[in-house]
Amino acid sequence: MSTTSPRIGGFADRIDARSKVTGQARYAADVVLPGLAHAALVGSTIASGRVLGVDTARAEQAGGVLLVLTHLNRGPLGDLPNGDGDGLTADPRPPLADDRVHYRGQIVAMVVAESPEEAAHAASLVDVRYEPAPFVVDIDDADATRLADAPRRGDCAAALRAAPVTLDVVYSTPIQHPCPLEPHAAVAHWVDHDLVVHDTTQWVRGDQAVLARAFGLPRERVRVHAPFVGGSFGAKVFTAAHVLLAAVAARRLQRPVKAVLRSSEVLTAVGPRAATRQRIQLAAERDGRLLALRHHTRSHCATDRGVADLDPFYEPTSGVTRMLYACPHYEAVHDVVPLHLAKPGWMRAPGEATGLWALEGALDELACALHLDPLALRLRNHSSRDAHTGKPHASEHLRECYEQGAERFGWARRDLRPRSMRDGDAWLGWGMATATYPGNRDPASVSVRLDRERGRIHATVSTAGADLGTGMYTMLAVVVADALDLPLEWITVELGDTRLPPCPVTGGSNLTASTAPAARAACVQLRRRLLAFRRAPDESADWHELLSRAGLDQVEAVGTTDAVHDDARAHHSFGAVFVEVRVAPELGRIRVTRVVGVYDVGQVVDATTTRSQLIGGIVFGIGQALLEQLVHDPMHGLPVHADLAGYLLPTHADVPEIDVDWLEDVPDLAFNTIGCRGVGEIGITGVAPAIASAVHHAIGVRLRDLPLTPDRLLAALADASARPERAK
Amino acid sequence: MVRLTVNGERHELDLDPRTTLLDALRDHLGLTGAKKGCDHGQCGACTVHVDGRRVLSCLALAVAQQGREVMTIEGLALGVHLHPLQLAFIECDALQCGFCTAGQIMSAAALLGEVEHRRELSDASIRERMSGNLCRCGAYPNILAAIRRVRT
Ligand code: FES
Ligand code: FES
Repeated sequence: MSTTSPRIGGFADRIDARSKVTGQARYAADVVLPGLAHAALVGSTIASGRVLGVDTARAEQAGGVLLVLTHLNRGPLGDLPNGDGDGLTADPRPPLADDRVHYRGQIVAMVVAESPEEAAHAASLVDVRYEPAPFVVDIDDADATRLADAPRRGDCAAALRAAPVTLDVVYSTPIQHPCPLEPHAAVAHWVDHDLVVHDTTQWVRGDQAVLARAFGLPRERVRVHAPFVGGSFGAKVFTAAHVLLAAVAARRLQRPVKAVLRSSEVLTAVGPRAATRQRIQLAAERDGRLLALRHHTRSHCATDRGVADLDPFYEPTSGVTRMLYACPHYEAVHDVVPLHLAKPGWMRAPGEATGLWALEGALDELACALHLDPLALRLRNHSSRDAHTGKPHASEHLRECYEQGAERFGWARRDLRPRSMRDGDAWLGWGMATATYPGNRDPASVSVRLDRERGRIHATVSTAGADLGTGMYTMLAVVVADALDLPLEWITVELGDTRLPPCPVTGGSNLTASTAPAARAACVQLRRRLLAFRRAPDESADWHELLSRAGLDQVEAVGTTDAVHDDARAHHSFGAVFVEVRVAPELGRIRVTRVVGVYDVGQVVDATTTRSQLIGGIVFGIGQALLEQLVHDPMHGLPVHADLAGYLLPTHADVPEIDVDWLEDVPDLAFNTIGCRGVGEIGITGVAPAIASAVHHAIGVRLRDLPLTPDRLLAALADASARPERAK
Repeated sequence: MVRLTVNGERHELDLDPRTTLLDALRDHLGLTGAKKGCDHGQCGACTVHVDGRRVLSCLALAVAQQGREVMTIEGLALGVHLHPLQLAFIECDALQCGFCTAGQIMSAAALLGEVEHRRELSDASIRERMSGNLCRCGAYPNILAAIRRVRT
């Protein structure tokens, strides 16, 4: 056990790792309480229409059944909030509000029984009669509505007409699902008249706000715990229907109730990343300088009018295309297509992961058309300011990312021509892309308390935010260790509890950037207070001694961070990702064999967990590129493979060696006092287009539809050999 | 009554015959280290050892395990001394959210036994043998490093 204090930027061991490798970390579904009852959900078997009647008699008579909730007996629930800061639900109507069905798998009943087996069996006995209505689940089959928000600069149409070089291509992304390994789970119970919920959520305070409104309680009478969350990636922002229903049932039964979703229910009822169709039109000079970029996106949203009116959540693809490259003329339009599916939600780098798929793919095509190195094309269009707002980046080192990434990868040896590297029966290809993600920061508070304990000091760091596997526990411990010169072993971090100081949703890669400066601010206050008790200014600071001189056993300070409001500068992270693929044309198989990513994320707080986050993001990118798609059956409106054998996630065998690094000494001190931006999302960005570009480099075939499955590759190869003049 | 031996301890449980080994461990014995990721044998989060072999406990009925030795992640460490794989997982940061971790470690521990007699063990072979254990957080490269560290 080391007793030296770690420094910001160094490699610390993840402080919660021991509890995880020994199976001691308690996740929501692990919570067992005396008298616990178990819920099972009944999902609609139609995609649109009405529930005519629910016959619950057989279910109610089944062994162990305690309660069957439907829209007929659910009882009153208040309207749900649906604005930022106030909690979010996928559907502003409470669950089981009425007889309307908007998607297949929408909860139409919930059974509660003594055991999970009894609940599951009884759920199969609930007999629901429906009046089905027509529905549509294919984004290419339905009418679109244009959104009013259409960012533009210059005169895109004129520039596209006049330019010496143009490109007009459509890139698509399927419905993909964040699909954390831990299914959604909640245990609700009432203690006196207060509600206590153990949930798996990115946002305990969001849950608290929603539940308080639903049950007409002041917020402080709702307590939500989420000390460990088994991954999320955007899927656990909304307070889901089963959480509310578990609380309803717990109140009715006066017993704790546990509701755990099956993975089929997660994939069906938890909002996925919306499908997109993205048309990119580029105009450029012959030297590759961009003149115009038009980005027309079609993405799907929910059909429920209530939802669509309130918040047509759409995949915000144009956020990244407008800001990344210098380009005088720009226009983005966005159409949304209502489908009879669960309302889409967030998935790691919403907008960036999809927008860059289209933009970076199109740039690779432009580079090929102009016989330019794809990296040279990026450098030619590099912008040191947000290209749309014109604000200079406060701290931007993208060129160094390109340079170092290219060096590590060996990019300079790349032959521009496709089909230039062969290895046995396979072709090798190299591709690259730019990665970027905005710096986000939200108001947060963190308390740091020092206790005198058995002759030494112990620090407790607390905030309501949740660690989703992101490394929050470790990051905060490192910040405090660094600020107060304490070994990690003397620090406890408490997270994921509404009783702790307020903290925003863990999302948008914001949490470290928001809480780390707040934790440091708390430490600065503590230092100032305690250093006043030094006998001489050069006396070394022994907190234990100073605390006893102050006559205190304990001292606490709360530090805060506010939201970003920087009118003068932009804050973004950047990176460059380089990929090697191995393509077996006979099998249509694409394997990623090597990935190098170099990032500018400001000051890294903890190197261990940052490295893991970046690697994890790249693995997500491999899934996005090669495997993941949720396909809905147009006849029945349900996903054709709503389980982990059908919704393919990357496995060990799909993931090669991944070499990630970041630039040192590039703190973004205009962003926060530590200079750190988040790292949770940038890793996925750029990976999919780099892979597709590498495939093109390997075999000269351009794939524009994700995922890059063998059937698509084989079809494209057949197409190319039928029309050889088009196979560049 | 179902008699189970788990981590060397004998238990007699009054179980619904439909109870899976995973639910028996989690709901009846309080051993919640093994996780339920999919309940369908598709993710590996529930991996435990039965008579030394790795088994997906969500696909095994508890009643069928009588007379066998079940070991879970809670039984892997020797008292306070972590198993070398547990230490290696910490040192290599072979986990993020931790939800797959018990399954990964139990799978890796069995794997080491399966390949004991082999002189060579390539990275590709480890990856293949570990591919029944999904990690949505993408800790794969670090998990491989951790296994490598133990099997040098
Ligand atoms: S829970 Fe058993 S394999 Fe997924
Ligand atoms: S650590 Fe999260 S699923 Fe593996």
